[in-house]
Amino acid sequence: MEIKPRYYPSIILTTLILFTALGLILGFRPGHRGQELNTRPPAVIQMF
Amino acid sequence: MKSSTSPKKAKKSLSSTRWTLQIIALFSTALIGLRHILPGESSRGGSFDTFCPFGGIETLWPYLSTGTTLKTTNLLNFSILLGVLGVALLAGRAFCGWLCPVGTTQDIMTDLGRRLTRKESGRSGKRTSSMLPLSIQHRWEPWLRKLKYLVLAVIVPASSWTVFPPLREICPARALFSFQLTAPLLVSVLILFLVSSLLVKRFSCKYLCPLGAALAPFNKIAPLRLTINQESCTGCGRCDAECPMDIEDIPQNLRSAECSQCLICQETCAIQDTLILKLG
Repeated sequence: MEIKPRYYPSIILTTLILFTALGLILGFRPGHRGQELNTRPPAVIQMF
Repeated sequence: MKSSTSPKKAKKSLSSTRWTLQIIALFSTALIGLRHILPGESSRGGSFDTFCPFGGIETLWPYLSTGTTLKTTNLLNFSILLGVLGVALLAGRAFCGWLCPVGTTQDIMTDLGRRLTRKESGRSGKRTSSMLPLSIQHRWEPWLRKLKYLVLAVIVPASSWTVFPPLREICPARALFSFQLTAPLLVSVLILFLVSSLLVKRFSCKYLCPLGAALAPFNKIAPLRLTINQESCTGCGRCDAECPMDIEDIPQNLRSAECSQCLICQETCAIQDTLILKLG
């Protein structure tokens, strides 16, 4: 499928934002202040 | 009367969109760096390193094996890495060409070098040539390009027995944007990075960047890519001359691992519908 080059920036930017948001939703984000930041398991792992 | 956008105007627009995106990414990264040197801010959300996609690669094995990320990194690195991998899965190394602040700094420095050494030639004064950027000799080029894979191959296993990310003290992104030049080594890295970018186009991307090396294989499988209409290509070499990654014979190397997917070749191609962007 042919894509117009002018849509290319929007496509890659949207992909970047969506995948980063996916990571954050899965729980790959820093905790609240005072919480140990580098030992907390992500939410997706805590589910199991 | 029907108005239509000329191809030249559309191409110009793509080029300015790329610059806009690159500059936004550059200033955003600088803002993140500034935020972390403000008093009291360093305790919120970890350090500057937590926004680095390569930090996610560095800290992946320590996290999987011990359940703890390396110091100065945290789980946010994995989200940033996932975002960059998402782009890579779709469009190969497009992150390098469109969003990387380190790549943008190199483009700015190369442009600066070109302007500083510009010479007018010819009587009309219209033709210009510049001493910079320089070209690396052909015999060295393939070997130097392999250096970044070597850096990646050293850094990843090294991260399993280090406390901090192994690249931390020699990372040009940190030297440029963390605003914390605490070690003399980091100052040297900054100077070397700026000088090399002034002399050679995308020096760090082509020869040293381990993130670029990690993303390079995605160029071979990415579904969003340029294709060529062999019938209309005249082989003029215009795309080769403009390529910031100095890829040779672009029409035959559209899947090159070195390509940063900047689409400059598509922009500069004089014949319409020769380089076509396709999905799938």
